[in-house]
Amino acid sequence: MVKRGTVNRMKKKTNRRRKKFSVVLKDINVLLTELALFENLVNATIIFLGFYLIFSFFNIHFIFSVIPALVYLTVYSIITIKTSKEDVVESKHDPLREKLRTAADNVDDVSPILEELEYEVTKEMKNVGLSLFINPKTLSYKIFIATVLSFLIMFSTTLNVKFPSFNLKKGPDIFYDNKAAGDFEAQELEVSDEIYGEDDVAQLGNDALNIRIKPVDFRVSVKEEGSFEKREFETIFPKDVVVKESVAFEENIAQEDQELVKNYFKKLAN
Amino acid sequence: MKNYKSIFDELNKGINKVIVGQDEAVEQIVSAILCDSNALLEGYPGLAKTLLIRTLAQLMDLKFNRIQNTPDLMPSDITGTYIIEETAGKRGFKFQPGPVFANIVLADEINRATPKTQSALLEAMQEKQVTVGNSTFKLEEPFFILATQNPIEQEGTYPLPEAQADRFLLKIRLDYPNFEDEVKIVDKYSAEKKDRRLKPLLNKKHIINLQQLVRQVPIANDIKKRAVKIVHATRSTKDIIQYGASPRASIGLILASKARALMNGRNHVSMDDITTMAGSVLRHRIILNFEAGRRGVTIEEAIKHIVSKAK
Repeated sequence: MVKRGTVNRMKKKTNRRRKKFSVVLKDINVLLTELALFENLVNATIIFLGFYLIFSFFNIHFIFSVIPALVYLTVYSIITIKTSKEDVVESKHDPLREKLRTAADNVDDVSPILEELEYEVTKEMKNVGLSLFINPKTLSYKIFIATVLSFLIMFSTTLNVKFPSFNLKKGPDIFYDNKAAGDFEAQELEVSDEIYGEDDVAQLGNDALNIRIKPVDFRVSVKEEGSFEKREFETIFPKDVVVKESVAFEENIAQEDQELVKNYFKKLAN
Repeated sequence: MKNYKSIFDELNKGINKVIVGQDEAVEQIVSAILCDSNALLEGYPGLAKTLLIRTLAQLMDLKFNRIQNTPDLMPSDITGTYIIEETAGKRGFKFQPGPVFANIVLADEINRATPKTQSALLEAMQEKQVTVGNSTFKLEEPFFILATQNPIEQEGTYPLPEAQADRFLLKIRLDYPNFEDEVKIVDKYSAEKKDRRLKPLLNKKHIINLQQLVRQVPIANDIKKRAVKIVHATRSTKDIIQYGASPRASIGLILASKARALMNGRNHVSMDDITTMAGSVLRHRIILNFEAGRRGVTIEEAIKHIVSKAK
């Protein structure tokens, strides 16, 4: 008969082993996700820079080069997160083929065979190097490409390299700085079709003006109009209009400052 | 796991002392025993089917019986019957166990027995017990039936109904040995007659433990899904298959693959185990349709097609 203490010790040992293996699996998952996301980020940067350079030649706003990079990053990040990390490790390290995912899928089960498998996998994991998942050569190439693209963008911007015949200028106006480009749109000049204005504005005092506005292409012909009638003009300015000092313009300026300003203007007048 | 592999290596060595060139069939028979299931062996006469089973029984220290099925064989001839026995001047009925009361039973040419006798045997296979009159008798564990079928001479036979064939975990094909193996067989058995009594390597307890261990062999989820996908494909491939395999085949395929993994000293089931065992698990569980017959598609080709399709 097995003693209760022995059973408890075995249970504790099994729990420790399971925890240890769970930690190993978690580490693999986190590490490979980070690596894959980093690679995606580098690729997305290259895509952004490439599109930026091309778009700058055609005078397309730089904001459009963010879109393909963002799409790439989103799609590949989702794929990265969904990909089984166990499969990735197995594909890079043949001795773990089918073992790692079997152990990972059965991590909650307890059996001597599974314990042996987990022990084997944990031992074999020590032979799996980080270099298996990062290709330094490829990464160096990518960083080099990104650097070259950055320099090209700098030079093209400095030298203002453009393909004038392909000046597409596509996209919403909000992305274009019209003033900087020297183009004045009609909207800015505030030209309106209503060139005659409102009827009620055409008043002076309380008397309505009898004004007939001719069309733009109307030509005055002296022959047609005939001799003009001589008319005496009267002053129609109201008599009760007086000028008063307005308090609104009084400012609480110190006497010496007032003198200073006064002297300054006098000096200017002389 | 290396210890288990050495056990099976020793077992194979022992079998190879008697049987030449039937390694695959031996592996599959042992798999069926480890899965606590039964197997159907199909092969031409003279391929050492009986010798193979007898050798296995010796190496595993198991009681072996053989039933030669004929159309006049009665169920009581298999299960046993009550006989009148006189003890101390008193007459009473005593149960006389039939040949089914053994650990390994070879049911030779099962398709020659009448359906009534077949079903008596199949009940023993399934329930691991025998009912005679009002009494039920438990069969001793481990219990394994290896039924044989002859692919030729089908006249006057009673082919196993699909529902009964489904109860066999594997249908194992025994082929003729190649030229070199046949020369070895001739050399071995045409020389002076030797007593080939083999020393047991395992016992009943070992086999029961191994049967429990087989079920503990872990399997990855994607490999398990692939096995189910293969069995499922037998039901969806309507262009060549009339009736596909039941979910019992899925269970059987996983179990047989686990047994193969254990025999090969692996602590996990591989995709290769599934692919290898698919043939013997599905062979007797699918029925091809007329179109397959017209195109000359064999069961083996159909299984290969399904296995490759289910990748």
